[in-house]
Amino acid sequence: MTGHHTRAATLAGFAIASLCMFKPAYAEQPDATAIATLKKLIASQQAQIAAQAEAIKALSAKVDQLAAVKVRAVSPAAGGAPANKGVLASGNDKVSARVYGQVNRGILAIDDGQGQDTFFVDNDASSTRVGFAGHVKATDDVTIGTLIEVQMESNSTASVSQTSDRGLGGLSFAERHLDLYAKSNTFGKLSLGQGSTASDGVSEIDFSGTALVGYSAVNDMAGGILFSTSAGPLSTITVGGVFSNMDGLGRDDRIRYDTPSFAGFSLSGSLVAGGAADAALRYSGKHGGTKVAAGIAFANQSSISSTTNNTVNGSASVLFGNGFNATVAAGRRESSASGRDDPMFYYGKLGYRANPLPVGVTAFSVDIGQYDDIAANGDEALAVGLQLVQNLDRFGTELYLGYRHYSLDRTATNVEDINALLTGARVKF
Amino acid sequence: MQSNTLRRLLLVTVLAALTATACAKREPLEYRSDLEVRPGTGLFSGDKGGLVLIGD
Repeated sequence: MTGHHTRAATLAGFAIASLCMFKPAYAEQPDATAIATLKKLIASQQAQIAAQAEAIKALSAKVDQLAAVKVRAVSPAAGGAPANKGVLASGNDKVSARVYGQVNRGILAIDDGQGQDTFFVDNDASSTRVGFAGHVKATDDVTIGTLIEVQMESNSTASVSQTSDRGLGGLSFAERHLDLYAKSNTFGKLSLGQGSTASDGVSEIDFSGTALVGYSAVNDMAGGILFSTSAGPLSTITVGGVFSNMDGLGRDDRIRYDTPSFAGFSLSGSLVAGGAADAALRYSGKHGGTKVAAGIAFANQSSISSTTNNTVNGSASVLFGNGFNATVAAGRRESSASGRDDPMFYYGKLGYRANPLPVGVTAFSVDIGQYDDIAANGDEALAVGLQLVQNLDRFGTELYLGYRHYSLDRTATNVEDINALLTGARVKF
Repeated sequence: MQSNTLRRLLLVTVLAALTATACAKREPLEYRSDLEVRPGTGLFSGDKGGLVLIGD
C-alpha cells in the first residue's frame, strides 16, 4: 500500500466515522420548538384564567348588587327588618294578602221521563270563583282583615233547563263576600259587609268529602230542570222550586258577631239589611280519631220575606277514624201566608273515605232527602243520590261523579221522575 | 214512612255524635265547608294554595 493510498483510506475512514457520529440538526430542533410552543400556550392560558377570574369577580359583585336591590324592592322596611315575602312590596311585615280561586266545570245529563238532554255546566254546589283575601296583625291578639270573593258561572247547574241550555250567566260576576272583619282570640269576631249570615251554612255541615256533588241542597245539581208532565209537555215546576235545604239567611249585607270558641261551642248572631236577624250555635271537636261538627240556627225573616216568618235549620256530621261518616240535616219554615203549610225537610247521608289510590282521598256516599210543602201545600219531593269524589292532591283537583233521582208527588198534577248524572272537575288554582 | 226513616237516621247520627263527644277527650277542630275553596295545594300556586302577593 502506498502513502497515497494510506491517506485516502484515512480520509475515507474519517469521513465514514464522521457520517456515523453526525447527528442531524433536525433531530433536536422539533423538541425545542414544541417546548417553546407549549410555554407560549401555558402562558396564554394563564393569562386567560387570570382574565376569567377577574370577570367572575366582577359578575359576583354585580349579582350581590342585584340581590340587594331585590330585597329593598320587596321590603322597604328599615332597620334590618325581615323581608316581606311575596311579589309586591309592603311597608308592614305583619301583612298578608293573596289571590285564590277555583274553576268547577262539568257535564250534566238528565232524563226527565219524556226525553234526555246534556248540558255543559258550572257546578252550582261550589261555583267557579276568585277571591282576594288580606289581613294584618294589628296586635298580638287582634287581626283585621278583608275578603272580596266573586263567582262567575256560565251555564250554572241551577239555571240550565230543557228550554235553555246555553249562554246563561256569561261574563257577569255575582257577589259572594265583600267583607271586612276584626278578629280577636279573646273577644271573638266582628264582620261587616256582604257575607255569610250567622245561619248560613248551618244546614250544610258535612264531613263526607262528597258535598261537591251531593249534599243537603239536593237541588244544586239540576236546579233549573223542569219536571215533565205525564201527558208529555214540560211543566213549569223546576227541581230548584220544590227542593230547598232552608239554609238560614244565606249571604247578605249584614253585621255579624261570633263569640270565641268555648269547649268547641260558639254562638253567632247577625242583623241583616231590611231588618231580618238570626242566631246560630255551632260545635266542632275531635274526640280521639272521631271528628264531630254540628249546628243549629234560628232566623227571623218576616221583614224581608212575603212568605216566611222564620226558619229553624240544623245539621250534624260525624267522621270516624276508619273513614265511615254520617251526616244529617233538617229544617222547618214557618209560613206567613194564610192557609199555607209549613215547609220542612229531612236529609241523611252515609259515606266512606279511604285511600285506595296514592293520588289522594277517595270518597263515596249515598244520600236521601225528603222535602215537603216547599213550593205548594201537599208537595212531597224525594231525592236519592250516589256520590264519588276522587282527590288529586298534587294538582289541587277533585274529580267527581254524582247521580240523583228526583221525584215529586203533587196534588192534581202528575209529573215524571227526573234522573240526573253530573260529572266534572273542581280545580283550585 | 220516609220521614220516619230519616228521623231515625238523624237520631242515630246525633246519638253517635253525642257518644263520641262524651267518651273521649276533645281536641280543637275548626270545621271548614267543602263547598268553599279548600285549603291546601293549588294547581299553579302549589303549597301556598293561592298566589301570595304580600307576606307568607
